[in-house]
Amino acid sequence: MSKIKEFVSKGVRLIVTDTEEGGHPEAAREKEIPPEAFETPPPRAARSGVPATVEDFAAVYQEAGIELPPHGYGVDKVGEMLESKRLAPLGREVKATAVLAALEAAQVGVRDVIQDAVRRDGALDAFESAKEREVQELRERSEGRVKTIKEEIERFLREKNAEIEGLKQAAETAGQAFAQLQARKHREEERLYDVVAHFVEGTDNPITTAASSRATVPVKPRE
Amino acid sequence: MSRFKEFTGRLRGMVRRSPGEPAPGARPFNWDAPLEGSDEPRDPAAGLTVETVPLRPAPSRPPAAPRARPEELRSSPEARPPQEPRSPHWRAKADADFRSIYAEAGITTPAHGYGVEKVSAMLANAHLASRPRDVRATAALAALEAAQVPLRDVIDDAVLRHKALAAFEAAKALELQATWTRSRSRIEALQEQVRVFLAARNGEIDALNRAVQAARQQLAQLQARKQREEDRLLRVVTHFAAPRPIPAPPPPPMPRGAIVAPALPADPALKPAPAEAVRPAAALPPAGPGPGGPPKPGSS
Repeated sequence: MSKIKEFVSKGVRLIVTDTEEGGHPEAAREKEIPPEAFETPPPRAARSGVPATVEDFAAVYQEAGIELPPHGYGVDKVGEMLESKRLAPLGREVKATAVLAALEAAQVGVRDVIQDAVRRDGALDAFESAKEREVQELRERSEGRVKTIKEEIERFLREKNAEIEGLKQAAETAGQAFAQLQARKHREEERLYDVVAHFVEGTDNPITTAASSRATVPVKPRE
Repeated sequence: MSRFKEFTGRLRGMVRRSPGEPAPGARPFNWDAPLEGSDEPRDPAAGLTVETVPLRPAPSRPPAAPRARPEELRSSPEARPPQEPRSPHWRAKADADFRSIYAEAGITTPAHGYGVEKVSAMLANAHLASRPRDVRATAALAALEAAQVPLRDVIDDAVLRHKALAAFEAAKALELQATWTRSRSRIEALQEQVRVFLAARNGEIDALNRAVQAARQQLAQLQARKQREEDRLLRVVTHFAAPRPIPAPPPPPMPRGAIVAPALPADPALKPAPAEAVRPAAALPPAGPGPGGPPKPGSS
């Protein structure tokens, strides 16, 4: 609950009410305002088109349908009056009395000003809630998308790694088969060499064994 | 010498042709040793006896080359220099039997039947197995001579097979190299695919996280600004109003006193007793010293 809502939740007691003479009679008589007077309707929309980065809340108030009272005296104007240069050096009560006098002169009740403040406060709360909801929805959407992406990544990696492993396995198998071929070929060459060596001695033996095998060893590319 | 003859006789039996097989051209074989004191063989046509076989080929002789296929030999008998084994593309796999490799290379047993395989079998014959190496070689040579098979044919057959093996190995080495290269290229392509895919997806995840983080920061900043705006509104309002004081809670209910009996109508017959007489015992003051004075010493 915001501060103003809490402030008016039990109703308020007007501080400066000693203006029976010359003021608005009904306004002057009002010393307390019940909490029912500050009950605001729920915000019109759960969403807001105003960005969260808005610097001036006037757009928020406008979107919430809050308009200046017909007499022109809202909480903003009263705030400006309180901070005017003429009243600035005065004490708090004096300033309040002066502004209240001005309000009474304009036949404006303090209730209108407080109601305006409460409505604006409600609009701010609604705006904040809408933005919180937007962030929450964005977070949920983002988490859902991240989850989907991670599943895609997992599936993609599984497929590609399986293919890579298959290729490596095939290359390894081919290498092993070739090594076995070389070993068998070496034995066969030894056999042929041995047969021929029965009739042709030493280096004249046209059958070679090891050197030619070494020359045909393929170079495995680096991993 | 007699034992040697025995061996050669057995060898002759081994290489004896089948009944239907045509005999090679007449070429007498001299089983006898050269004449004593002479280096020349008794029969020059026999030529290459055991002692005179040129065991060391002349250096000028070109190395034995692969032989052409038999059908090619038949079509052009003078094409004697053997050709290289045929195609570098081998149907046989690396683990194929060498016989299929030789067959695919077009190597067959020579027409006279004496290839390196047969000579190898002769050398490994059970009858010769226990004999010295030179004895086995001599016996085999004798058998070749008996069959009028030049030793060159056997060596050529061995060289052909050797070359076929080398060609097969080279082809398989090329295949293996190609397989490795292809595999390496494909793996690199896959790794590049993975890298690109991961970069794209991780980039998307980062963007999503950044968006959420930015939204949270904006919300926090909005909440701070809203707080300031609410404070401003409250400051204005508190110039004129204060929270209504909470009404004091109602006082707790008073404890109910003793029920007093209603006054009875006056009845002269009913004369109230003296106060002390009608007071119930419970209402009597406690026994003991009365308010009149302290208890007398020793009264208990």
